[in-house]
Amino acid sequence: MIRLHPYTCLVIAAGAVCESFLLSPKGNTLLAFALLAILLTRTSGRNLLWRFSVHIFGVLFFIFLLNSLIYPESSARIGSLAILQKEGVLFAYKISARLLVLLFSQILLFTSAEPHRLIELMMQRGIGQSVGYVFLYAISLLELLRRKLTAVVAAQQSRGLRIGGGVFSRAQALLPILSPVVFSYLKESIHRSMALTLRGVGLRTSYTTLFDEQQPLHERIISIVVLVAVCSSLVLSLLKWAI
Amino acid sequence: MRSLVQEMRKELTGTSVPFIAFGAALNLALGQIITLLKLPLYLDLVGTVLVAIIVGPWAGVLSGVVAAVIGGLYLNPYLPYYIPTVATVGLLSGFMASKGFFKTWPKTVFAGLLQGFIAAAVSAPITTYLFGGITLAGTSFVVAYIRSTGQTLLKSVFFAGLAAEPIDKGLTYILARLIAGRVPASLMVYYPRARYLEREK
Repeated sequence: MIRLHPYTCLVIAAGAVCESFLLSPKGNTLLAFALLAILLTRTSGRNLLWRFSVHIFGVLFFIFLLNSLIYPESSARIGSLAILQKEGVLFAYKISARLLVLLFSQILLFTSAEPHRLIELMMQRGIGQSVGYVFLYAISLLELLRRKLTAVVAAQQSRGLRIGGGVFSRAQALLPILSPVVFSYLKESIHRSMALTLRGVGLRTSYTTLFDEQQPLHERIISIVVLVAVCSSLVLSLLKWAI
Repeated sequence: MRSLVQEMRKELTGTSVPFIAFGAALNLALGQIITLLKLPLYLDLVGTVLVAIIVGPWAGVLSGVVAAVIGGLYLNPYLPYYIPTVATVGLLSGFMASKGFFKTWPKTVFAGLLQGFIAAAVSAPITTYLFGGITLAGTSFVVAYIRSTGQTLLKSVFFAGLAAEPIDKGLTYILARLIAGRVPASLMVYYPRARYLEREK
């Protein structure tokens, strides 16, 4: 598997997102297929596609279903399928092609550039250390917090908390579950703040690491090509709009 | 502009930074509790509102944005596109806290309903132009129904959002206020904005 520099991934993904708003539906379809082909060559890309497939196909199905059946501005029908409205189907196709480009470019970014690596590089290039820390800590906290919430639910249930009944009583159960978790993390934040202050977080110093990962020359060229392509599409769209 | 940046920096202190990350993670982790309790709500911005009340509006924005980006990676690929909505919620809830909207219940409920209205207005163009009217809040059939009456897609999405968002955001505000109001004074001394939660006499 080719391991791209996080900046290259970022430029490719951002370029694809920009192009999705500038290209025609046919252009978007081609771009989506190209991104899909890249994703399928990667194990992590295939895994993430599989994980999100329910979301992706669910939304696409509803986009086509609702727009092809209900499209108030539509006048033409599709052939013998008198219930399908032509403009609605075309609108659904346009939206779906753009959506697929957006999603595939997002998945490509996440699978090619590991979030930790990308954030660390961005911290080296100037995004605040505090912002970088928030991202990294939130990622590591997510699973811990889920486990903690499950443990608190079990603990509160053993103390007599009921999580059944009507909507109101179920909503009421949220408070005894959330409060202990919030208080414990408020306390932990104070402990962590001492550690962070000792390490100089908040001071305006540049972030330094032992290893500075440079973008290889060929990837720089790829990034420039992507940027040129986006700029050309933008100029062409503006020219079309002006004429 | 400079004062805005200074304002943002002021909220990113050693004490607040871990709590902002906690708020982001809470937004995402709360989903499993909502599923467990079988609540017909999302309440996916409780962490953001809590951070905005306790730390400040810009911290709330950061917490919401971080949650949307990480959620897009681990949970739902569509979340990052709603960053403008979560940023608005973070900013507005922090601003309302500083104006004393979390001091009394009627004000809190009003602020929540107003927030729901604004969130629906901000989300509607995103849902319309990016997702063709398919909402993440499960109101797609409401959108279809309103649309069949001859309304434009944008209006249909907005009206469908109005059916769900004010209730969701109203309850988010109530829950955030209940939790923030219970935080012991010994912990709140580390967060100067706690004075905005003191009840009016």
